[in-house]
Amino acid sequence: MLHDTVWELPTKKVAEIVGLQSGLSDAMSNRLKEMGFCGGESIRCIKQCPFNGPKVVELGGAILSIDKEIAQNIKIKM
Amino acid sequence: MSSTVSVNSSRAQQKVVLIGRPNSGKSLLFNQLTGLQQKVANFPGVTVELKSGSMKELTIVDFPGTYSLHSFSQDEQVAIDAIYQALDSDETGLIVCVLDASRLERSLVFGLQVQALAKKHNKGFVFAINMIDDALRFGHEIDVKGLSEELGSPVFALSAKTLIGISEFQQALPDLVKNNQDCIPSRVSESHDDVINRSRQLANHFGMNANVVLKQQNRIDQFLLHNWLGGLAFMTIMFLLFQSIFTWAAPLMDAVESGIGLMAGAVTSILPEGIFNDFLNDAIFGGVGSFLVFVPQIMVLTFIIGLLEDSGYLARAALICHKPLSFFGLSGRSFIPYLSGHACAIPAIMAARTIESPRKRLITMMTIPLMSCSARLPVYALLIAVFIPHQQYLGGLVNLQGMVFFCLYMMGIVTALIVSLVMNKTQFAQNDKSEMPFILELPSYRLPHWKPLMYRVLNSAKYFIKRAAPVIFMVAVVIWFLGYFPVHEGGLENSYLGFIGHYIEPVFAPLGIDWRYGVAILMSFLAREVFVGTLGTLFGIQGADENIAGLAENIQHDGLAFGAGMGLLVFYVIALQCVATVATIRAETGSHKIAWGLVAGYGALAYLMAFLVYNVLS
Ligand SMILES: Nc1nc2c(ncn2[C@@H]2O[C@H](COP(=O)(O)OP(=O)(O)OP(=O)(O)O)[C@@H](O)[C@H]2O)c(=O)[nH]1
Ligand SMILES: [Mg+2]
Repeated sequence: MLHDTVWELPTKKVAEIVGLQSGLSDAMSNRLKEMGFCGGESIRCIKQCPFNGPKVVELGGAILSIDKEIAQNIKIKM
Repeated sequence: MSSTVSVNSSRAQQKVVLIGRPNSGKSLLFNQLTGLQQKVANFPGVTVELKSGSMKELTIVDFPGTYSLHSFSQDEQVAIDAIYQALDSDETGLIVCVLDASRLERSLVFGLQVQALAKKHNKGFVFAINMIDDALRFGHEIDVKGLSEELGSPVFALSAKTLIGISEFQQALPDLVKNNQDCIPSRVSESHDDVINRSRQLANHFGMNANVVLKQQNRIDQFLLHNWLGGLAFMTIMFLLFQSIFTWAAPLMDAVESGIGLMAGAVTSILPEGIFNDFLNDAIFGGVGSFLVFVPQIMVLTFIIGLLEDSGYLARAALICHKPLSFFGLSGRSFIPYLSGHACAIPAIMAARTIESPRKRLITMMTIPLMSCSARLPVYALLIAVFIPHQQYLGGLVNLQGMVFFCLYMMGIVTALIVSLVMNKTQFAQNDKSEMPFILELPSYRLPHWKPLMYRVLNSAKYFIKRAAPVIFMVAVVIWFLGYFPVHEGGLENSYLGFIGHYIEPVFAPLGIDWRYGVAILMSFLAREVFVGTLGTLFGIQGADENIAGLAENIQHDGLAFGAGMGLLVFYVIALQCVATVATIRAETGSHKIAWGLVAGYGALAYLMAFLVYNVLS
């Protein structure tokens, strides 16, 4: 089944992370996990910058800003 | 620039290394332990080099922050290699992993990985939970004993800012180092997934409720990251930054100027008339004095940049700018080096290390010299004072001279963006296409810590004087001798300098300036401020009998054309005239060709633009 990704998460909405896309490099997926993008974590979108700019999300007690490329690689369940 | 205290190998000092995630407060802790003043600021990636200092018989080493032991970019790899080296080295007596109490889970992910390594290498290891003042503010007290048992390593709770727990930590360190075999971790997490799960569990049990902290942050962000309000706030902050350099510093500058004038008057009236008196008056008060006037501006600039850096806003600004900057081939992370480049290009070029993408980093480094650094301030301020009337609008809130100042800064930035765009489009930077994704952790907003800020402000003035004063002094002396002899009565035209000057005159004639300005420009390749000092000396010689009027007035009476003056300003916006910057670019890029190519390229562009401006305006 095709999941939504963080990129589709609307502002002020909360979702649960399902996992990372399988196409990611090891280095990248390790880093994302260390930054807190792990299955089961809940993630909230704080802001979407205009013109497809970075997304700002709240996750595990921190606020992170990620660009489209990363956001599209994180699968969520709304 | 480094305050490194070299380790005396015969006495084999034991090292205590401070590692942890970026922005966890390692450098502030380092400063409190060693009494040194490393740069501290509220965004991730401030420290980019190892720095060491001593605390009694121990050597403390401050590391660049790292998110993980699995590198992601080349420069992260350098920092990670350094951690492995420290683990292997016999000199390492103790590893201190600094955690952020307000972000315990994230800190632990890295901390537990290092802890496992420390056990593997048989190294003593302790956790230092920093920023407990933040936790206490929200009424959360950390159960140090329980956490220590769970973690299998000693834990210290402290605050590098309010100094809670610092002296206890300081007293404990020598013993911990001496008996470091006792604090080899007793239990560690083996697998990566285990690290992540345990961090979460421990943080849930011992950490503070993250929502409380975030609520306050979000309220501020709602405004500062708002789509158009946030953009407006960003513009306003940038405008006020550049405007205030002019307006806030003005009274201080006037005070310094009249102070120097009084001193010059007093000294020269006591001494008998003659060559020595003339020398003091022209070379010392005219040359060196005319540049000291600008010290207050540099202090104000450093103060405001420091305020911004410590507030937590810069990371937000970087995020707002990410999309626009990507258009020019830069990253949002380029914003921070660009901003600090307005104080001085050298640390800014080093700070570009935190840009993951090698290509974006290179373009950022190559365009930082176009940011109007504080060495240009004297030149800008002098020429603005000559040509732009002192007018105020909106009850003093906006001032015409300040507006021109702002325009000059903007011009540097716009030029940098255009150059970036061109470089991004050309073959030159295409060898590395790999785009690193953008991911940035936003720090909590904090009130700036006044002590390091004040130190930075004072230090900027000291550095400015120490760096430029000797050069300006020497140039002033040489120029004065060449300009005063062989016959003072014959005037500047008939001096040795006048003779040399006529040879270089044709080079500068197309810019509408005579040889005196030409000499000043050539001299300013030693350091930009020398321009002002040299002119000060030259006009001093010419008007030795008159009162020492301000240099600006002297130039006004002398009748420099408006177009030529504007051309000069443009020249100084663009030209790369700083040996130290060239050396830093060379070191960071490893290429002589890039470094000297920039000098030639920006020099030619500056000349061309000055020529155009002069011809259009006259
Ligand atoms: N409230 C509070 N703030 C602190 C404390 N320690 C450090 N800070 C602030 O946290 C921010 C980061 O401090 P730094 O010392 O630059 O952090 P660092 O770990 O060296 O960061 P990098 O060099 O980027 O790895 C600064 O704004 C400090 O003023 C603390 O104990 N309490
Ligand atoms: Mg640091």
